[in-house]
Amino acid sequence: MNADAVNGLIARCLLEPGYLDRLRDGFEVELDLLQVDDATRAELTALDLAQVRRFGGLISKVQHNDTWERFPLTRALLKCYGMELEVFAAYRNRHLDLLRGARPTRDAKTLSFLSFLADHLDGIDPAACPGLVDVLVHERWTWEVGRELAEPDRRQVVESARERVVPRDALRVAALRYHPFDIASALRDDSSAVADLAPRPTYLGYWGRRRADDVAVLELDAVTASVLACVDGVRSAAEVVTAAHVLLPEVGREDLAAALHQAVARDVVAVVEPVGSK
Amino acid sequence: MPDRTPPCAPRLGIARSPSTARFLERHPDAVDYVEVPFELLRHDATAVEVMRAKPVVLHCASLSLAGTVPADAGTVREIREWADRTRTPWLGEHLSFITAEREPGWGSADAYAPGEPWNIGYTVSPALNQENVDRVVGSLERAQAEFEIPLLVENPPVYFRMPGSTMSQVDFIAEVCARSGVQLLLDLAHFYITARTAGFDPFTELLRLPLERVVEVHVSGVTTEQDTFWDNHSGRAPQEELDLLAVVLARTRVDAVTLEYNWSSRLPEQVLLQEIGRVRDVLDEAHAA
Repeated sequence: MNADAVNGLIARCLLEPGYLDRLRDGFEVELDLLQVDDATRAELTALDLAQVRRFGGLISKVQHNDTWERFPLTRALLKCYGMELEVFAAYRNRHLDLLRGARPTRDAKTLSFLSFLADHLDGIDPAACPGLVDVLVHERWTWEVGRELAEPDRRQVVESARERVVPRDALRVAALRYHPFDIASALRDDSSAVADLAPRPTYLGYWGRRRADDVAVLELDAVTASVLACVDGVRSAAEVVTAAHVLLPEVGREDLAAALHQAVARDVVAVVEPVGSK
Repeated sequence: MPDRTPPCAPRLGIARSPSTARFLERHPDAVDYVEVPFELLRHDATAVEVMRAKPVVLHCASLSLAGTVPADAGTVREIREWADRTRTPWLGEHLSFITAEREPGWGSADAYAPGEPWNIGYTVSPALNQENVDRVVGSLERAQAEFEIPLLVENPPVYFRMPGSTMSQVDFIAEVCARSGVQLLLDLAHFYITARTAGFDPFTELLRLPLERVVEVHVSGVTTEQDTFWDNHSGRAPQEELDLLAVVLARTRVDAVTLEYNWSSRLPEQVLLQEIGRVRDVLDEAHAA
């Protein structure tokens, strides 16, 4: 046996993106490239690649311990549905890419993992993990809005020659099938009951209020949620109403305009006049 | 810190986490010491401030004792400096490898560190065979010469059979101990996981370990996913671990038992207190017997 070759192969499986996949898809071809003796080759053939992949997932999971407090419900549901290692094994390559540069910050790790998870869950039947997408969106927007509040430079108002509707401070909107508060309660009481939780569609707004220095979670009606979801800092008031009308064609433009007006009155969003208009 | 004067009961400690300082403020008498990893101190020296509240036991995962690439001189020097600064009574290190040689001609596409050894950043159980027994004995001899305090080796968790393994983990550890004279840090979660992976009865195999060499014991959680048991420092220990602890304490006198619940800053304080209580009950019962 060649210990260097064995340790090197395990390390490479755990550290080099794609190598584990290549081994899985063409083990004999890859072994030919290693130039190891027959005994080592026979031993390597018996390696449980799926388990090595999961072990890589465990390593990435442990290396995210400092980020969990930012998305506790998401983590709890991943655990509850027995998906933690599979998700982190799937994330492993992207995590390794992140590690290639300087030591990543907690924010960089959080952002990278949450973005990955959102994409990953797109390809999974939601019935296999009820509420997971919803708590992910909920916790991601809560964290991102809080982060925007902490970094005011990110929100500099850019002067424009046209009228625009802009979020006052920081804002995100989510349309959720399961209410995150229901999931939090279920996890607190009996985590095994989460899978049987009934959907409760809801619209939530995540409003980072600079003056209060907090993130308020607002229960919204469908009309207000649609209008606020169309406030992108670029559209004018009329364009926001038009975009919201595409989302909710059954609601009249007047009602949508009234919802926008109310949001302006509540100081959630503001209408910025064009430069030189006064 | 623990001395070896009988009839002292084992000291009880916790692994350092971000919530440890607050926990110790609120429960100053809950534990006797705090275990701190060298790798944390290396990146965040402020972690040593816990010494103001409790003595520190230094833990390490950087020496790659079972690997073909030894830790570099700078790393060894840093460990020694932290050992001196923390006045740790011993240094616990994994019986694992963390670095590995890049085989020339493997055509690695990894260009970020050409010529550098692989650094996994996590400890991996080696192939359990005679060649690696020899390697570990040699590594221990060289490593021990660098430190004035004793090295303890910790049994790693086995999640898959390493190619080239020809012996059980217990036989591997027993031979390393017999030939090197090294003492043990027995991680009961790792032992339980290895038993599940390899399919042996942990209670039977435990008795074949050189238990008289156990100085420190680790207790932590275990989780199951994809039909495998995995290390989990953010959940409660299974009852089997505490039963194994009782078996160990009935046969030998250990100096310290460390609860490793350091993977989640959100672990409820009440849960940690309950876990401390469970372990302390086992210690008290063993001490009274």
